[in-house]
Amino acid sequence: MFKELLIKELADKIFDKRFLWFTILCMFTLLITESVLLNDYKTERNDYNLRLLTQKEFIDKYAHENRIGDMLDIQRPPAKLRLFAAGISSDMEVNTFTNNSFNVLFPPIDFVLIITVIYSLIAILFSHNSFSGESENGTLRLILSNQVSRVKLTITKFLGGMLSIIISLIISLAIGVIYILMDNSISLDSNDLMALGLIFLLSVFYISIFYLVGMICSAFTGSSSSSVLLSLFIWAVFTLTIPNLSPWVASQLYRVPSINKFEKEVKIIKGIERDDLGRNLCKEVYEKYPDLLNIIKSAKDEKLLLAKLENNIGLKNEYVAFQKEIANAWDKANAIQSAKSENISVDFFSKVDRQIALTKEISCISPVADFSYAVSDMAGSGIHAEAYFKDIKKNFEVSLWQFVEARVAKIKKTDVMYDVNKYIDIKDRPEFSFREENVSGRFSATLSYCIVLLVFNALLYLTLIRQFNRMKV
Amino acid sequence: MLQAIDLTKRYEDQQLALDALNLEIKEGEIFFLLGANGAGKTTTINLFLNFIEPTGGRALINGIDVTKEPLESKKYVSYVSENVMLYGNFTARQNLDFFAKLGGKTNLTRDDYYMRMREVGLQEEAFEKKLKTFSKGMRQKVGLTIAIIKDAPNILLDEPTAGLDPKAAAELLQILVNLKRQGKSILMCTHDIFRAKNIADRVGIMKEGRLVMVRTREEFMEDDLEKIYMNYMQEMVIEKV
Amino acid sequence: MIKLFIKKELLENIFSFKFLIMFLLMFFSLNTAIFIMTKDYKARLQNYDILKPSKNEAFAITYPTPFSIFAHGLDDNICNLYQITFGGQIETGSQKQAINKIYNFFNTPDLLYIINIILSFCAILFASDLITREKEQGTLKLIFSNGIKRPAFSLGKWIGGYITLIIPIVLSVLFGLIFFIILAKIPFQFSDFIRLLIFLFFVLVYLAGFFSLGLFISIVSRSSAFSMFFSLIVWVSLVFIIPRSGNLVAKQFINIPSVQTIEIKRSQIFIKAIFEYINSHYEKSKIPQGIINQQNDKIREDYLNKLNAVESIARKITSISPASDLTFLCTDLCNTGFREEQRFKTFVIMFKEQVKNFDSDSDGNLVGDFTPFSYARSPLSDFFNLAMMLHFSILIMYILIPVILGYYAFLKFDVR
Repeated sequence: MFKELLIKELADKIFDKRFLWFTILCMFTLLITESVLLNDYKTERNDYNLRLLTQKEFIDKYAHENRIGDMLDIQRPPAKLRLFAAGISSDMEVNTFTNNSFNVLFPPIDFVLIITVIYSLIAILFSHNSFSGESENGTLRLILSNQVSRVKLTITKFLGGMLSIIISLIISLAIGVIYILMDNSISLDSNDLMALGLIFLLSVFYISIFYLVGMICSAFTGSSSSSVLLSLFIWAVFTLTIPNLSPWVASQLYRVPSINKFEKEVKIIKGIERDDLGRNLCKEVYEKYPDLLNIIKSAKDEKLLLAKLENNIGLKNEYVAFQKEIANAWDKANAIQSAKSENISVDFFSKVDRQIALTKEISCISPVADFSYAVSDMAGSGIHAEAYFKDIKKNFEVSLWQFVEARVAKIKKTDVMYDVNKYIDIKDRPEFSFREENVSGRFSATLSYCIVLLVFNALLYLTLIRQFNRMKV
Repeated sequence: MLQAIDLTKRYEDQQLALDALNLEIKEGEIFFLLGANGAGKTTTINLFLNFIEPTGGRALINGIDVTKEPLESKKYVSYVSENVMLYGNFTARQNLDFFAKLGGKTNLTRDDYYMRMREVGLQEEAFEKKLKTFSKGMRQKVGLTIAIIKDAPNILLDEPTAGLDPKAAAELLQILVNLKRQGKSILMCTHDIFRAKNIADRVGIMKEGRLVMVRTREEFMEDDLEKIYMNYMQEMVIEKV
Repeated sequence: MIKLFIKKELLENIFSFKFLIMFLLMFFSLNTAIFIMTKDYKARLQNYDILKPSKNEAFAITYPTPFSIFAHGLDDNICNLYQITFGGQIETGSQKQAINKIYNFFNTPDLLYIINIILSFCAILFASDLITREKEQGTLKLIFSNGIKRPAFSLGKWIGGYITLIIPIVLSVLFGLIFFIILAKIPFQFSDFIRLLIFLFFVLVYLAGFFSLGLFISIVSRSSAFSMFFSLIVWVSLVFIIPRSGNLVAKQFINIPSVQTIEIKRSQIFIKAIFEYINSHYEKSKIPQGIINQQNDKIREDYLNKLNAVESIARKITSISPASDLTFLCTDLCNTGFREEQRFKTFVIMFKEQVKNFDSDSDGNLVGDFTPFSYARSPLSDFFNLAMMLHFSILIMYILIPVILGYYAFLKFDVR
C-alpha cells in the first residue's frame, strides 16, 4: 500500500509538465553559474599567485625591520568550493577607495541562491495542491475509503514529492560537478567531495521545509487557490523579508558605539593625551635637573652641547642620567596610554562580538539564514571559515616574528651600525601554507544550523499531521 | 428568433463537430437539443455566441448574422451556461448588477434585482450573501436571473439542469415556461429527456454533429420519446459493432 | 463600459483573500523597511558628526543623505572617511559598523529592495490569474455572450487590476512617510518631495511592467496553475538571475586585478620610496612625495578604468532586467548610485591634488594651509540625462510589449 501511494505521488510529479520545465531552468542556470564562477575562481587564484609573487620579490629586495609588518601581510587563497557559496568575498573585507561597487548593488548569483529562491519556490508550487487538489477531485475521499491512515498518506505524499525534487536536484548538481571536474584546473579531493555531499544534504533539508509549508497550507485552506497564495506569501516572508531584516533589527536591539568613534578615541588616547602626559612627566624630570637644563638651553646646537659635556665628566654623567629619565618618562606615558586604549578596545571588541553573535542568533529564525551560513561555512567562504583562517594566520605570524627577531638579533651582533631601516636578508623565512579545514571540523561548525533546519522540519511535520487530521474530507 | 442555415464547424484537427445544421426556433417556442456528450450541442451554442467561427453556413439571431455583426447580434440573446461559477467574492445582487449593466440595463435599482430574484425563487436571505457560499442550484438560479434581467428575445441554455436536484430542476423549468409565454425563443441543450418531455415544444436529437431527428410535441407525445432517443443511441452502438 | 469593468475589478479584488494577504505583506515589509532604514540613517548621521574633520585634518567625508532611507545603494561607500596621507595616498576609515560580515549575506532591506523584489512578486502573482480565473469561473463566457468589445474588457481589466495593486502600496508608503519620516523630523525639504514623487512614479511604472507581464501570461495560459508557474519563472529570471549574473559575466571579458592586489602594490610603492630615501644617506633633499603620488595615481587610474569598463558591460547586461533598471534609476535619483559615487571620488581626488605635497607630522596628519573638503550632493537637474532616459525607456518597454502582445493575443483568445 505504502509503495503504491509513493509511486503514484512520484509519477504524478515527474510527469507533470512543470517538472521538465523547471529542471531545465535549474540545470541551465546552475551550469551558467558554475561556468562563470569557475572562471572567476581561476582569475582569483591567478591573482592570489601574483600577489604572493610580488610580495615575495618585494620582501627579498626591501625587507627592513621598521616596516616588515606591512610587508608580511598574509594572503588567503580562494576557497575551491566558493563556486557553490559566494559567502563573504575576500575583496569585501578590504575597504578601500577603489571598491567594486557593483557587488554591493547586485550580489553575485551562486548555488545558495538557486536553492533558496528557485528550488524552495518549486517545492511550494509542487506541494500546495497535495490535499486540496485531491479533495477537489474527490480522489482524497476515494483514497481514504481504503485502509490508509492519514499519517501514512502524509508520509507518502511528502516523500514522493520530495523524491521528485531530489531527482531534479541531483541531475542539476551532478551536471555542475561534472562540468567542474572536466575542467582540469581545479582538483576536488575527497574532503571537498564530502563537503559537497553535505551541502547537498543541507539543501534537501532546506527544500523540505518549504515542501512541508506548502502541504500545511493545502490542508489548512482546503482549496487550491487560497493554498497557493498563502504558501507563496509565507515563502516571501521567510525568504525575502525576515533574513534581510533580522540583522538590522538585531543591531538596533544591541547598539555598539560606532567603530569610527572608537578609533577616534584611541587616536586621541595615543596621540594628544599621550603627548600631554609625556610632557607633564618630563616636566617633573626637568625640575630635578635645573642646572643641566640651563646649560642645555644655553647651548646653541647639539655639537656645542656635546663639546661642553666632554669637558665635564660629572655633568656628562648627569646628562646621561637625565636622558635616561626622560626616555623612561615617555615610556611610562606610552605604557599608561597603551593600557588605557587596550582596555577600551577589549571592551569595544567584546561588545562587537556579542553583537555579531546576537545578530546571528536572531537571523537564525529564518531558514534561509541558517542555510546560507551552513553552506558557506561548508564551502569555506563563511564566517567560521574566515575565523579558522585568521587563527592559522595568527599562529604563523607569531612564528614568523620570532624568526625575524632572531635574525635581527643575529645581525645586531655583527653589525654595530644596524638600525631599523636597514635591509635584512630573510629569504629563508618560513613559507605560509594554508589548507582548508577538514570536513569534520567544518561539519561541527555547521552542526547547530543543521539542527535548527531539522527542528524546523520536525515542527512543520507535526503541524502538518495535526492540520491534516482536522481537515474535512 | 434563432436560425441556423447549413451551419458547419470543422476543427483544426479535422474533426467535424457540426455538419450542416438547419434549425429555426420561433418566438414563444422551446427547443430541446438532446444528444450524447460530444454530439455537437455545445458547439451549436458556441457558434450562436460567435465564440468560434463557423467553417460553413450561417447562424442568425433575429435575422442578424452573428459572424458579420457579432456585437449587434448579442443584444438579442441571453446565455445560461452549465455550472455558472460567477464571481465568488460578489453577492448575488452585485453579480446581477454587473451583468445587467453589461447587458445594457443601466437604470435598475436594488429593488428590481430583489424582485427578479424572488421571481426565480431565491431565498430572501441569500440576496446579499457572497456567491461562493451558494449551492449549485442557487448559483444556477442567479445565472438564470441574469438572463431574465437582460430581457433578450432569445435565450440559450447549456445543460442548466446538470447536477441539480429534481426540485431545483423543476423550478428552473417552470421559469422557462414563463419566459416562453412572454414570447422568448429558447434553445436548451440537455441530456434530460424527462424534462424535455414535460415542457419542450420541439425536440431535436443530435448525433456526431448531425441533427438526426426533429419531433414536435404532438409527435413525440404519441411515440415514447425515451424509446425514440434510445433507438437512435443504440443504432450508433450497433453501427460501431 | 470600461468604467463598469474597472469598478467590478476593484470591488471583486479588494474583498478577496489574495488582496488581504498582499496588503498585509506589503504593509509589513514596506513599513519595517522604512523604520529600519530611518534608524540606520540617524545612526549614520551621528557617525558623521563624530567624523566631521577638525580644521587641520585632511579628511574627505560627506554627510549621509536622507534619501538613503529609500534607496540605500552605495551610500556606505560614499559616506566613508577618506584620509589623505603623506604622498597623496588615500586611506579609508573603517566601515560604520563591525557587523558588516553578516550584512554581506543579505541585501540591505531598504525600500528599493522591498519594491524591487517583494512588490514585483506581488504584482506578477496578482495579475497571473486575472484572466485564467474568469475562464475557470465561466464568467468570461457570460460576459462575452453580451455584446462586449474585447479591448474594452481587457483595458478595464488592466486598469482595474492595476489600481487594486497600487492601492496598498500607496497607502503603506504614505503611512511610512508620515510616521517615520515626517513625525521623526528627518530633514526633508520641500524640494526633496519632488524627488520622492519621481521615485514613486518610477516604482509605479516598474510595477505596471510586472503587472502587464503577468496579465499577458494569464492570457496565453490555459490554466491558473500553469500561468502562476510560468509567471514565477519569469519573475525569478528578471529579478534574481539576470541582475546577479551581470557582474560575473562582465568579469569574463575584462581581466581585472582584485582590490587586495591593488592594496599590496600601493603599500609597496610607499615602503620602497621611503626605504630608498632613507638608505640613500640623506642625499636627496626631500622625501619623494611626488614619486609616491605619481605611481599611486597611475595604479588607481589604471584600476578605475578597468573597473569602469567592467561596470559598463555589467550595466548593459543587467539592464535587460527591469529590476536593475529600477535600481539604477532610483539610486541615481536618491544620490546614492554609481554616478554619485564617481562624482564624490572625483572631488576626493581633486582634494588630494590640493594637499599632495604637504608634509606630515608625527601623527600622520598633513601640515599646511588648505581649504577643508566640502561636498554637496548633485542637484536634481543632473539626474535627467541620456543614461537615465535609456533605463526609463526599458521600464516602459516592459509595459508596452506585454500590453501590445496581450492585446492581440486577447483578440484571438478562445473563450470556450
